[in-house]
Amino acid sequence: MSRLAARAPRPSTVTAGILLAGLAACSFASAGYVASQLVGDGTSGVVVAFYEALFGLTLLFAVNMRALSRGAQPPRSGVLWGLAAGVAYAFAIGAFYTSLERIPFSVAVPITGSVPLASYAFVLLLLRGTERITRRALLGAALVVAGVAMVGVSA
Amino acid sequence: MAFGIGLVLFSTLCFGLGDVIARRAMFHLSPAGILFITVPMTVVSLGAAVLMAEGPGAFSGHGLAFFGLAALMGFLAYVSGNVAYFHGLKRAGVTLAAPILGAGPLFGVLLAVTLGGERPGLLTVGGAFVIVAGVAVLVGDRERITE
Repeated sequence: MSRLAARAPRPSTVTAGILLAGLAACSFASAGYVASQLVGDGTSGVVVAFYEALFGLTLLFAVNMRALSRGAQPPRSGVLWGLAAGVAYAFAIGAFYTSLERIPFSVAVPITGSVPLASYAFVLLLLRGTERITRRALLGAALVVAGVAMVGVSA
Repeated sequence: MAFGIGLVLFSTLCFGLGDVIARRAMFHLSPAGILFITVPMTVVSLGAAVLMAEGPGAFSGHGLAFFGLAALMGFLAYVSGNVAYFHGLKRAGVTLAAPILGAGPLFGVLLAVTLGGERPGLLTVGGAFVIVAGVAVLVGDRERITE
């Protein structure tokens, strides 16, 4: 057996990985669905997003307490980028849950599927030199834009 | 309706921007380290947004059921979602794990139909499939990453 073949992950490992990725997708979608129910009951989308993040933070600290206690001081530049990402996510979650006050979850959630396209656009702007535009990337982008347009028109 | 769609598009842009900035932070920090900086900042920013948009009264007056569901959301979005995805990435690789995560919105539509009783039009469902197909094409394109 070649060294490459010996290093390849076993099919059972890949299957477990696929199942875990599926579980992650279900977790994120379920959180959004529960949010849509809370917002539908009349609570403000931003308030729902705040409490979700607050509980999420508490649980994250509880789960990772041991790792945190022996953590080293992070570099300042990394902290600044991390803080900026936190603000961007706050706008993202706040805007998404606020949108659920106005449109059904089944209309809003497919549009959020285009996040990888938005990331790709920002990578081209902010992380120049790490990715390039290929025909396949353009095809994928065109499909995403067409899909968002279909959802938008149907709404 | 149009304002709602606009808000979702704005949200999508902010998620994309956040992901890229977080990737930039990874040049200096571990993924776990980033999580412990971004999430507190998200909480503080959303808290400030609640104060400005709704006033301090918006933090109170919620029942036990609300806090229970918010805790469940916090677990699903910040703990189980992230942990399962990172372990899935490690085992299946990004080319398999990322498109599966990208198909999450289809699961969301399924939840809205089965549990929420929503009836999305054929165009909405078709659009969701087209978005997922586009994302699968995008994330499966290894050539776009420069050496």
